[in-house]
Amino acid sequence: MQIPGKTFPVELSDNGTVQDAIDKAGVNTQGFNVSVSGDASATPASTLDPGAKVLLTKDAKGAL
Amino acid sequence: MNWISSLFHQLKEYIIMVTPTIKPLAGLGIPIPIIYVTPAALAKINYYVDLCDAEVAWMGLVTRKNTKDNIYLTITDVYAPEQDVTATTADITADGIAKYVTELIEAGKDPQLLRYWGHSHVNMGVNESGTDLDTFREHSENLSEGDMFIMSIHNKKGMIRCHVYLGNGTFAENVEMCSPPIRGAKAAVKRELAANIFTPYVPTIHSTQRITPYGLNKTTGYNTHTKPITGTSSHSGSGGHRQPNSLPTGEDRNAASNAMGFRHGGGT
Repeated sequence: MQIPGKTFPVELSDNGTVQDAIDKAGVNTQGFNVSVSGDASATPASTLDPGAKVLLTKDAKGAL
Repeated sequence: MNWISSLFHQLKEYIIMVTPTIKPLAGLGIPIPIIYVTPAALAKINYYVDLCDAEVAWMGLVTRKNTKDNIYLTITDVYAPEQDVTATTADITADGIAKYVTELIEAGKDPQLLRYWGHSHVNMGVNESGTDLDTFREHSENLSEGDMFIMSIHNKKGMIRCHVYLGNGTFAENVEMCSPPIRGAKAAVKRELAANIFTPYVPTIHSTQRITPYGLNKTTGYNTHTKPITGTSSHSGSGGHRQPNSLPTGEDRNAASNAMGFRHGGGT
């Protein structure tokens, strides 16, 4: 389930953090950029707003 | 320097060849997917390539439809996220993709449809580089079973090379990208052709027939078994000189014409 643009909606408690969501989803985020929709400054310790989504993304490098 | 270039090219090909990648699709009994690009998406892709003198990359949304015999993947929209480019590279950043995904969510679109990555090689060939293959592999290897990912490379000469990863370790190589059919267009064109396209009548002359100063010998004259093919055109039956092509396919027309003694191409 880890692909560019992949989002995994999770059920969040009011005090859930980004890391909580990742742990709950059981996703290995190694090699991925972790961000939160609508919150560019989010960190793993940030509290997620209900409805927000954690985004796992990779860069896409093209070359000749 | 040519031999160096040639050696480098051969080495590159060898590296690509020996790099463990995804199993090819051929021989696995999986239908080659048909890749459609909507006219709007295709126009954007062409503009990306035409307007950028350096490399440029884009991503896009893909819908999938499975039928009994085929897999149809349609690229419905494309977007060029934030990226760092040079004359020979185009790197869409992970942040750039994240921003794009966020915009998709805010627009009510499904980010799970983000299954296409394309880029331009500007004026160079469209064969994939090792970096391209790495990206294709990285973006494909974590897909769910049965999921797919499309990669295409374009240049300013209009060349396209497209691969499709279909999940489960299989991919289709060098798949054609084409426009989706327009509903009802084929039937409308068939009707139009049936009404307006005519085949000139060419009389068959057998060796026993003679051409007199007045035309064909009346006793052996024009094919007496000729009759209008079908159709309701007012031209049908007008002396047998023109026949409407009202049959639906070229094969059917040829078969009918053969049955009526018309000549086709170099033979009868």
